Amino acid sequence: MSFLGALLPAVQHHARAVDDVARFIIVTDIILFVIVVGTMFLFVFLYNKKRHPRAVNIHGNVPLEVIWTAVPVVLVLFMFYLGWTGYIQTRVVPKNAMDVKVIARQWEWNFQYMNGKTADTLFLPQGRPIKCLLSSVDVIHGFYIPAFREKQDVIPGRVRYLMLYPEKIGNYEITCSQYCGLDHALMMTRLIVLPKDKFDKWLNSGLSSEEISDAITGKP
Amino acid sequence: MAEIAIEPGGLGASPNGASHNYLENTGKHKGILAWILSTDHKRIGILYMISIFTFFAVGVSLGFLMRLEMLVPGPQGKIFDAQQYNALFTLHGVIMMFMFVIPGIPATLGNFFLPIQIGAKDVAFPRINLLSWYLYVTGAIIVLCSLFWRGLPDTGWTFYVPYSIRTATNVTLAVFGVFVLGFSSILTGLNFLTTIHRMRAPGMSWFRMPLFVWALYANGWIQVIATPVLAITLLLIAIERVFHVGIFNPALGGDPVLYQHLFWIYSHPAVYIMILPPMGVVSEIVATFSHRTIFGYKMVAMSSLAIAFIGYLVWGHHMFVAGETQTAQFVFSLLTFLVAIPSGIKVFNWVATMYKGSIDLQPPFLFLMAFIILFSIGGLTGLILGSLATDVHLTGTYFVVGHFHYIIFGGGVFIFFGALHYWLPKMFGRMYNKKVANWALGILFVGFNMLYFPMLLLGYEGMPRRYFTYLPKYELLQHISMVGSWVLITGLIIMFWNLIRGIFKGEKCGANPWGGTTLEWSIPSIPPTENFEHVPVVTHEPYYHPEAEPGFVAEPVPVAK
Repeated sequence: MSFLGALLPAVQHHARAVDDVARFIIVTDIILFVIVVGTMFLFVFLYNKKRHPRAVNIHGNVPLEVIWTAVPVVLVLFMFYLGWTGYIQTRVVPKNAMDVKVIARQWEWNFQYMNGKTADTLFLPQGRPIKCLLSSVDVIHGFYIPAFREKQDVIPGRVRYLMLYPEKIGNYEITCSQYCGLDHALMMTRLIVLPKDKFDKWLNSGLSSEEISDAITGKP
Repeated sequence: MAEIAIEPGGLGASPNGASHNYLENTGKHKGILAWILSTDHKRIGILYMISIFTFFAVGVSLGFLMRLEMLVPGPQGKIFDAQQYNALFTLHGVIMMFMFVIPGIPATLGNFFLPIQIGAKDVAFPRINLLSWYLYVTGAIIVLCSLFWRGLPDTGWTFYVPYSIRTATNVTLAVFGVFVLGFSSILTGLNFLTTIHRMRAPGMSWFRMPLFVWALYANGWIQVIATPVLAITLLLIAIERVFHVGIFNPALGGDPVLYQHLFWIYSHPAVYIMILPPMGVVSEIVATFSHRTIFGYKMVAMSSLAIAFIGYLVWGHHMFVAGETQTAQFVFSLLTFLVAIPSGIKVFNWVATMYKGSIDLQPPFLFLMAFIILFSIGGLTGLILGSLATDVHLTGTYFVVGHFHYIIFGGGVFIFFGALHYWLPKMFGRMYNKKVANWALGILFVGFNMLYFPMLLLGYEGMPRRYFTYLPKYELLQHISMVGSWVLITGLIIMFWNLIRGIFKGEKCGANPWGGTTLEWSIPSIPPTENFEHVPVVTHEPYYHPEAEPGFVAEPVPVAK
């Protein structure tokens, strides 16, 4: 497991893709940082007043300046490309996606399924793309599932969407990422990914909390 | 040695010794009136400095309390309740942004040194300069009044609608205060632009201006062009709140995302208002203490303008998850990466200026080294946020909080401190204790990283910002960060104590304690009221070190008759 995955497990394909982009940028960052700061310390050591009492003027060096402009341009364009391609894959809506309405209000989440069932915990089936349709009844909220590396602001008067691809059975945090007033910090709920059969049972007739925790921990 | 066209007796010092320094009262007013009615840019700079650092102290205290709240997690706030915490971060943001970092270096040291560095007696409009200080104080007082009337504002410094319209707290007054502060900023910018265009001394061509002046020039344009957008936006909020006209509020048919666009069209360029002047100071300090000319003068000057220009075009990266079209996301992400380039070029130029220099490790230079480290971390973490895939995960979390504190505090404010260590001896003619200054910097540096680096990790772990509480799994990093805030504040207290003591009791220092080459070092420490006794004539580049030219042969110094 990578360092970023150790900070926060990545539980869908896209989350690992985000970690990959982050890892590339962080590694490049560390190399650039060591070059810049290392060079600075080297110069401070070599050209210290005691060691180097007489300075030498250098007004510039065109080839050097071209290089240190061009190389970062190429690097950042590549970072941009990674970030863009990593992002747009989450905006594609597959045909078999299941719609779930996510309704935000101060300070709670509510989820509505196509059969009319509502819940304040988001239950999802494993292995099926989910299209969350986000709306708010009052102010702007932010629908954020850290383990999925996904987030979308929920704007009153508009409907936004967010794609999820639950792969692993489990219990994950949902938080509000856009400041929405007094109990913003308490506007949390859970995302529970169940095996498909258990989810169908929950959706149509309901599950006891014991059955749910058994389903998450993988007990028969 | 033709340092500057020096008249016998030296610049500033009158042959008959009749010249007064600016701290001596010569006008018709006495006592405090001689200060608050003065149109001398140096006195106005000091008025700004006193007021700005007063608010900085308030902002730091609020930040300290915010960290203290993280002592214990739990659904009820242990030290402050949710409402109080929400007010804390709102006020911390509003005070730090609008009353400290935005006026920051330009209004204080810019006011003091810009005219001197271009060989002028004052700014172009001295009375407007004083007016802008009054607007600043008025705006600040209005914001403070909002504290004591109908409850503390709790919207965050961004005043996002529709929350800012729905909340019962006193947002209108706070917004009006910020509106007035904006006009102070516009007038200062306008004044500086005119001064730089019209008041340069003979021979001070554009490419002989110190880079601090270039930075203030680019900054002035942002202040003049971008700040009115803020004023318009805040006015629209007030109109909507007071007259219930639907502009941003969806309940009245308005569009909340429109507000975000207008807010960030100002507030992103404002980030460059916060960082361009510090960048100018860095160029001054690195050239002075390396005792050689700056590497790539024109590139450094032009990159300020490039940052000012591209900086207008990237506001959308604050709203990647607000539901922008994919076209907007593509363009804003691309431009965001490109705006990193001129900042990077500047950093490379500064480090290259140390090459083959003769580096004097005085306190201002050590602050500069801290700046390079912290600003690099800030800039490089910015790349992670510029990338769309990662931004969607990290925006709105502690990662963003860590990132912008590295840029604005670690970059901008650390170099503001460095600038104080660089220029206060010139302003007051006395030197602080250098050893204490170095210790203070060390403590600040350790405290800063303890405070903000854990935030980067917390953000990646998914901890959203503006939470008065947190899940137990974040406890360790929250506590490291909190202890870091105590270390940082210890450093601040030592540093300010040392500087203030230096102003009053430090050893007297000469006109040029650092070996600087720009014009302010050619006049006496404690500059004369009129700056220059005779108008200086500039004959060479700002960082003029003939002794560092290859093939330089030391000539006997011609003695003035």
